[in-house]
Amino acid sequence: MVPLLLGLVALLAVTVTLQMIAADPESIAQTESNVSALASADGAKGARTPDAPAGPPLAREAGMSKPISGTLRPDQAVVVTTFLDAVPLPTVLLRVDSPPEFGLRVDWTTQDSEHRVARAERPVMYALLGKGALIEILDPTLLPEGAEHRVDLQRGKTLQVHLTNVPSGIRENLTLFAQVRSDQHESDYEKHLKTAAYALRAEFPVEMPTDFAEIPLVMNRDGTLVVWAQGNSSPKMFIGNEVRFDFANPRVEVDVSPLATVATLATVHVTLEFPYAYPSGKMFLSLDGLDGKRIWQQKFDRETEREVVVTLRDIPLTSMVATVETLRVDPTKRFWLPTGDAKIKLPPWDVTSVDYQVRRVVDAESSLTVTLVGVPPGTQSELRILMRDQEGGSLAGQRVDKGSQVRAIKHLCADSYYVQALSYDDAFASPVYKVDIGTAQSLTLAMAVLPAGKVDVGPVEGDSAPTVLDVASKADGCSSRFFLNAEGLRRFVCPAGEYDVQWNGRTKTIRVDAGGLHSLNLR
Amino acid sequence: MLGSLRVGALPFFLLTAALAAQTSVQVNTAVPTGGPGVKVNVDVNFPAAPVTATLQFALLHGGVWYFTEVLAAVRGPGQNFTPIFPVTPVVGDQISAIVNASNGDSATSTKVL
Repeated sequence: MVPLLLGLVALLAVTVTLQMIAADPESIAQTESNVSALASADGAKGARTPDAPAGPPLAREAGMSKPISGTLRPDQAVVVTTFLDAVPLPTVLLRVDSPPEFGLRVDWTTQDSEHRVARAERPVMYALLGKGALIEILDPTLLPEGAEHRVDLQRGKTLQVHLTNVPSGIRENLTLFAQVRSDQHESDYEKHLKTAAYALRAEFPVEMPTDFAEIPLVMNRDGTLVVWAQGNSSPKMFIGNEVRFDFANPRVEVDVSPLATVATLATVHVTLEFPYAYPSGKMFLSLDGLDGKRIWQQKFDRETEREVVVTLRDIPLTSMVATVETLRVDPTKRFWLPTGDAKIKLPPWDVTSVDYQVRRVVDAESSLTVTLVGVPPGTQSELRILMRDQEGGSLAGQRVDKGSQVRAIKHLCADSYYVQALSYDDAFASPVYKVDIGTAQSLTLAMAVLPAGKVDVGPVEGDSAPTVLDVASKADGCSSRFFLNAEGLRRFVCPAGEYDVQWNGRTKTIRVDAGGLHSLNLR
Repeated sequence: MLGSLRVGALPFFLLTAALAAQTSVQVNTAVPTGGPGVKVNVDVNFPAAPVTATLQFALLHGGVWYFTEVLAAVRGPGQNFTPIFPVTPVVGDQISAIVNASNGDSATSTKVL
């Protein structure tokens, strides 16, 4: 019985081997991976003892199902062997030439210290991934002539992370994470490297239940270690300090004290009162800090209800501006996108307690009809109306339809607005008009559109940096207000002419030429 | 048995775990570069492994939506991207970040430039 079984196994092995030789090289590689996986589920196949010979084997070990390398045609495939510290290291060969989507990961059951790699053409690209080693990108077009190619991998390192000044009790409501973000360079090689790192989950967040962690580094790169916190009762994240690390000396201390500001968080119940039919459907309620940076944005529904309560968890105790924005489903019906209507701004509030309640009326029954005057022929299709609130927040650009010189902007709330007409290429612009719109009021505004120039403003960094420029025309004295916000807006566009620019009590005169790009130094 | 459970009867830890597992994305800041790109800072959240997710950006410019390629998403706050579009984004355009998680959840967030 036993000899019969052995005979059958031998026959099966010969058959499989003959089929593999007949197949194309890539199919062979895949089949071999599967064979390896079946042969050793723990992924240890191919591991060598430390005293194994340093060079690549010239022929297969007896009993292995693969053909010896000498049977390969050099123009078809190369046997790539992987070593670490002169010892064969089992690695996973992973294709990395397309952006990773769902499910790209390393299957360690396929690791082997030898891989048969076809000399494919671009864009085929591989990474060699070994435990304890840095990622090695393998370009199959650069494989040398010959049947074998040895790759000596570099040993990876471990980044030691020490947290300091951890706020007392912060882990009661928040989970702390450390995350490596390696420096990036713009190149195809970089994309391949990052894809391989993603497959290894190398830059994924690492939970820190204690104040020390060791994080493997799989790229020979300096980078940044980010420490952040996540609320235990919401998906909100709060970024803390970011500390540079260098690969040569991978150790960082991170001061966590800035996260003390979020150690206490509030639940905010926003009661939105809707006196009118508009807005309805899916909407975003956005909370932004007074510096314009986003605090949180949450989707909610309203059909015909007079009141909707939106509950927001883990909100910092601070001042915030809220806006409501209407959404529509995208053409693929997979996600929600803005309708493009102007955002409805609500009066700001200060969150002062951990269980904070606030009520606001969503009244957007006002409108503004803009008539563009002096629009040069052929530019109508390229104009937009830009509306800002008194703090400079942009409430959405409204495109002027092709062939039209009139744009009705509906569903505005009562407020003061700064309004400007601009062409998309900034070649034409109106001055900035200030408009005060009352509740349920419809206003009409005529705006002169003229050849314009651009002005880049600098420097605007620092605490004393201006956030507002008042630009008065020397010709007619009319003043336009432009905003330089915390998000880095440093350019304004205005009609050609001579202007006095005022900021922080200072004045400078500039001349703007049509089509010109000018610099305004605020120093 | 499960069918008889009311939401109000759920233990607190189950409720908080369900909330924390949501997929979300937040566009913190979005600034046009003056060229074809937008500097975007986003927070991305989705349930931990085995769930993976993708990230995509869309720009509403002149009444037309433009979409970028789909990238692998990594969970974490304060991530910087400079998506490139076939048009020059300007102030007043709207940008959306879209996250699709492998468990079927998706989330979007928008910001006016």
